[in-house]
Amino acid sequence: MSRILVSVRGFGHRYPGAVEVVAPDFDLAERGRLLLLGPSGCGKSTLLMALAGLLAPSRGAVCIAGEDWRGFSGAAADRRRGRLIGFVPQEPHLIDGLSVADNVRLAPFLAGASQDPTRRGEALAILDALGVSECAGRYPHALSRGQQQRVALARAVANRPRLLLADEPTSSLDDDACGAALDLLFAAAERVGAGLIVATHDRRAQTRFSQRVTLGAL
Amino acid sequence: MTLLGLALRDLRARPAQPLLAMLLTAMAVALLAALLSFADQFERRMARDAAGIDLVVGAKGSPLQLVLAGVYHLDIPPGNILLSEAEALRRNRLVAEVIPLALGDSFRGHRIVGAGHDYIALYGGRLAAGKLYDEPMEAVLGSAAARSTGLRPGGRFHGAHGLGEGGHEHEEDSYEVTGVLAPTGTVLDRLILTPVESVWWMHAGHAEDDAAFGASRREVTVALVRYASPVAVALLPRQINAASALQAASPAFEIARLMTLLGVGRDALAALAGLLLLTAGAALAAGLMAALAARRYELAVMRMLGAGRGTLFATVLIEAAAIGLAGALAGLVLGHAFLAGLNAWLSSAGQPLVAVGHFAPWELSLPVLALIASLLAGLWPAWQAARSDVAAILARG
Repeated sequence: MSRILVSVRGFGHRYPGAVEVVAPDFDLAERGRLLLLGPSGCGKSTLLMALAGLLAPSRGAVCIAGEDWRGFSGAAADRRRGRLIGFVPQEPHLIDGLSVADNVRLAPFLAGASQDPTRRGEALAILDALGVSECAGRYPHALSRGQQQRVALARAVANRPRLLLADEPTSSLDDDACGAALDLLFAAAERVGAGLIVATHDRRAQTRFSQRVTLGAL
Repeated sequence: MTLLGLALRDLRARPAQPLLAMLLTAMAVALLAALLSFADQFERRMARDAAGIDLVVGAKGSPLQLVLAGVYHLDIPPGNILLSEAEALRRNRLVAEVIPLALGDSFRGHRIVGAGHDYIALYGGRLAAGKLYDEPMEAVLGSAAARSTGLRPGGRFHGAHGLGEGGHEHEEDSYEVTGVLAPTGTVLDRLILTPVESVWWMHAGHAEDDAAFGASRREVTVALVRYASPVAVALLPRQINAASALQAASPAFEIARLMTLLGVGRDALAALAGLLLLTAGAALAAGLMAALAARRYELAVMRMLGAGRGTLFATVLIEAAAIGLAGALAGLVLGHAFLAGLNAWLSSAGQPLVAVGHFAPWELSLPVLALIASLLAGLWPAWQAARSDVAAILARG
């Protein structure tokens, strides 16, 4: 049994004036893959935000690499997130003013790792691995949606995170593209040696994950 | 990659709102720059023309009028005084120098001033061509007067009665130009100079009683006085004003009074510029807030990538500062371009009204002012960016 990367215990979060969203306890091993399944509004995104350390749950513990997010605050949490977490949002949300290569380089810059010599040229290598190296000099608005998704994925893994989070990566895709998108996520996570958690209501993804956590539908 | 680079590239991606804010800043700064430069030059010129003249002595009337007429040659003098009274001032031990001037005629808008060579020396005038006058009805032209009239040494012209153009011409007698002066940057450049005797000669025919127009009744218009000691400041004007039919006016004091009057207009313009700057700040804040709404996912993603609240705060503030500074620099250029336009429009007698490249000392603090204004305008949007709820934004997709 390899080491535990993620550990969630007694998770519950209540937004003001809404019912509490809860999640069952679960662990994820280093380099493990986990599917977070449930209908829209069941709290998948809330749990993802808690895993990224951007949201403090009302109760319960969310530990990454053995340490609870509650032990970090402010700037320390921001630095830890930059180092440990990669996030692929549902929409690519690339920065319009930056070229594709700079969008990817933004990740190490904001995480304070841009001076790291091993990261130089890394952006282009990742874009190449994800099949969008020819887009490096272009700007986001000139890309197709599929290309934008790949760039967003490249950005998420540019810091070589320990944990890659993806929010509804397949919901708007047809069956072929759905499989290809998951392949890409697996490849990217594999490449940097990261654990992967995918949150989705898309049941087509089920068969690809051995470990599944279901929210909401009790 | 730097935060500044990030901010600039973001501005480039969404240029409309920043450009508007920049333009408004530029307008405000341009107005202030033109105003400051113009006022500074005006005051310097006023001071330069009055340098070395501590007191103007002339007929009773408005002291400001006396100064404007006697020093700046801008107004009609209040009247004449007897030459003997002016000469009597020389005997006062508080007086170092007396320069009597006889005014009255003009040529094509340029005053003909009857004065001794000492008046030319007062402004450091040097000959560019020809020689100084020795005899009545000889004349030396200031550089601007020579340029606008086209007269050269050896040329002749008729003086016209009064100061404006189109006055009654003294047809019968003409002046002969003996020399032209080099530019001095003072009022001297605009004048036509001749011995005091020329003016007496021209106006002898107008005297009611020619016989009475003898040596003892000779008149001049003003006497420019330089003090012998600082004590004179307190004593001499009061002495003259109380004890004789003469009036003494201090150029420094009268001009300070005039500046106070003009200052009201200047302050009104400055207030207008301040209002413009305020508008620019409001436009900047509104623009940044609008950009924030459009960028909220971008900013959330930046947080997700490890950027702290401080980084977001700084990014927005840097954008604000960049807009303010760019606007201020554009404004300085625009303000001086405006001065150039003013020159082209209002210049008289071929003499530029203002020096386009002249920067008033205060002007260079305008970029700092604009920077502070833009930083203040950027504070609220920057705060909003820093405190935005990233989890809520990203969770909604």
